[in-house]
Amino acid sequence: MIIYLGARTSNLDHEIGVLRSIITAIHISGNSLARNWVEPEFQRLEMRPKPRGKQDWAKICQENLASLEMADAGIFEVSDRSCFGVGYVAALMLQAGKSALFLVRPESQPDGSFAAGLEDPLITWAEYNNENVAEIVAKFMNSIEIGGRA
Amino acid sequence: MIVHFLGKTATIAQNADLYNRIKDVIRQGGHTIAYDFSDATYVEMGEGNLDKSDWALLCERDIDAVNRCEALIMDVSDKGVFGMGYMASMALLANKPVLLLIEQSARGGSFTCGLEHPQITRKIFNKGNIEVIISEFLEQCASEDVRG
Repeated sequence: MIIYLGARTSNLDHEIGVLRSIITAIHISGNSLARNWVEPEFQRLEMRPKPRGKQDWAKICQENLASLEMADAGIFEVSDRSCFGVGYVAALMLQAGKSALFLVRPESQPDGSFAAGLEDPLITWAEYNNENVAEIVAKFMNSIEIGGRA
Repeated sequence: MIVHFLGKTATIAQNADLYNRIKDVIRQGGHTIAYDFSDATYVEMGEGNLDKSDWALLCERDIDAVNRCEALIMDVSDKGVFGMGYMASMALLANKPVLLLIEQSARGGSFTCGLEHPQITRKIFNKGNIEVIISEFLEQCASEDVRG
């Protein structure tokens, strides 16, 4: 299967470890990413921290939406109320009838968020930490392969 | 027309004046606000932390408002959050006009700046031009609605 991975880029330096764990879990389960944006974006931030306003956001949006069409399911990091782009893509994915795993750190937003209130049978909601995120992702991948929920 | 207006719930208090001005323009134009998110949410937030069931109610209200509205206006200054992206997506899937408002001094660069769709209108605003921007958008929506 092809998996879309959505997360904020504004906090990438803090979340790179978790995103790498998610990607590894996807690959170990024999699946692939619709668009492997994490390492290139992390390298770009490390090497050339161009102001966010100077990036080609039209191109970024187009690439995101194109990769979404290819994907069979999505994994979204939605802690701290996440961001506009992740919400936008998640809605498109759910409207297309594709399953989505919403991952949230338990300490991130004690009073919840819009994502926490969404009720859709296609959504699997999971609180994660650095130790169990790979297991959660693997369980989700297995569940959608057999047509059920995690 | 029925119009839904959304901003960040986390900054409702500091944007109260701006949001009231936007709502006034909508009402003065003879339009109806689908659901006044700022008043209702602010009261609920003031009563304490929201839990998952509270957010389920807020989601239900917002999704219902987007389904009922004929135009959506969002303050996405400082990038916007998950819920706003979700609502914008739903409105555009239904081919409804969406106005994305970005405050002039807001930090630049985000998905909201790059999103392209024929029903999106993106405007940079300041305290001096917000009423004109809202009025022009609503007039355009109403005229296209009549033609359509």
